[in-house]
Amino acid sequence: MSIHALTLSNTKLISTYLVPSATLVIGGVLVWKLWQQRQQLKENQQVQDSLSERLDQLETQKANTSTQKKTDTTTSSTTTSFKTSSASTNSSKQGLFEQLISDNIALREAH
Amino acid sequence: MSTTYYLGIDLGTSQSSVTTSTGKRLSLKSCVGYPKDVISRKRLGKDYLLGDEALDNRLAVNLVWPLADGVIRDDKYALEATQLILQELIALSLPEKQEGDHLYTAIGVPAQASIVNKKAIIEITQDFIDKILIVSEPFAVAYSCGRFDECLIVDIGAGTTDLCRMHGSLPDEEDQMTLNTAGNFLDAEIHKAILAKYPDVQLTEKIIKMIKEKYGFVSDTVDPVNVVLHKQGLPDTYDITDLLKTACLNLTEPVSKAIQQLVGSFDPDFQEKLRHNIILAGGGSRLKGIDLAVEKSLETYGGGKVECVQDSEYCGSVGALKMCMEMPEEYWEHL
Repeated sequence: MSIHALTLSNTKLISTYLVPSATLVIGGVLVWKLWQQRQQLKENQQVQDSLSERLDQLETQKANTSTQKKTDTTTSSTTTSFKTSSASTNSSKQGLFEQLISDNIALREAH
Repeated sequence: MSTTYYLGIDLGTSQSSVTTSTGKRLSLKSCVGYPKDVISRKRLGKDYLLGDEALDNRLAVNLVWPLADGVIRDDKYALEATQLILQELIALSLPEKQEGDHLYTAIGVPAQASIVNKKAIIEITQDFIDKILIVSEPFAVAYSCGRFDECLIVDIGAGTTDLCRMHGSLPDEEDQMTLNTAGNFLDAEIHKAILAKYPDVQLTEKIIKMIKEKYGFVSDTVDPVNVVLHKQGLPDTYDITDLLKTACLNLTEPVSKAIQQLVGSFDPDFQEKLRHNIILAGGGSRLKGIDLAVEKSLETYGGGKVECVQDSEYCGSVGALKMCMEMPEEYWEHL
């Protein structure tokens, strides 16, 4: 077998098997990288969503707290004073009860 | 040893309901029937009939609806009839109550019921209720939903539609509004509309109520409404789709206007929040599509969000009961 024939068969071997295999491997690596990036993007999006949801919750809590503060300020000026020992009655409800009882007393006293 | 029972009562024009601390709940038509004459008295064997029994014998009795128009009517039978209805509600819901047991009750009344009316309720109940608390009906609904912050309660009953702005404290007079455009008004509109299209059909209050409760709608899309009515004794099917929608819209339009009025006169900083927290309660909230119709009416004002309560029949009495049970004992002592 001559050297020329050997070179020819090597070239044939590379072009037939190695080049397509390498192309496949490189292609696979590229697809895998792309998939990885996409997954990363998805995860980032999820984190962002949960953070914005939490932010909304905190804003709602803030609004509720300021409403409750407003109620407490209003009810502290009620003329009739009441004492409650019930730990379960939260302060906003206590304010409502005080006003309700005051109204009902006034109703009974009205002529 | 005596027991203390708590009761929440929704004293309604057409129907009253009660929820008890023992876990019972029931409702009764707010009407009393007095026998028309000696013969009917003898046949019925009673001095009066209550609720459905009175309605079933309506040809033999004089029917009294003491809370017509949402307040105790000013006639000799109305006070007595209201007392009988309340006594019956208590007797039916608390059969285990013994003499010596205590009864603490919260009664929901229309938002703008007069002082005279509220006092009348206190007076007629003093013999059988130990402690009584009068509350505005929409406030009881808000309490039931646990909504004390910026929201608007719209309680569409039979005699009145009560609107109430909630803002974290007990609503003032300017936060509340009462309309006479309610379920009974809608009954009259449906009656008028059917007779205008089909002049010879026979209609009764019962038929109209059935049509309203089963088919009433204000939505844009609905299956055709065909009902069987009688004409000179002969049954036939009549299409009432369009006329029913027009009649129902006659109820929702004034309600939407009242909502806009209450929103528009509120603190501008909170108007948007109020518009997005509108709660519909009462029998009227069962009209199909009413939430969307009200939302649509708010579009020109920047939009809004409307929801209907899950349990329109007992929502008020549940709220009143919750209030009773959460009220500390020392507060009751002031009454």
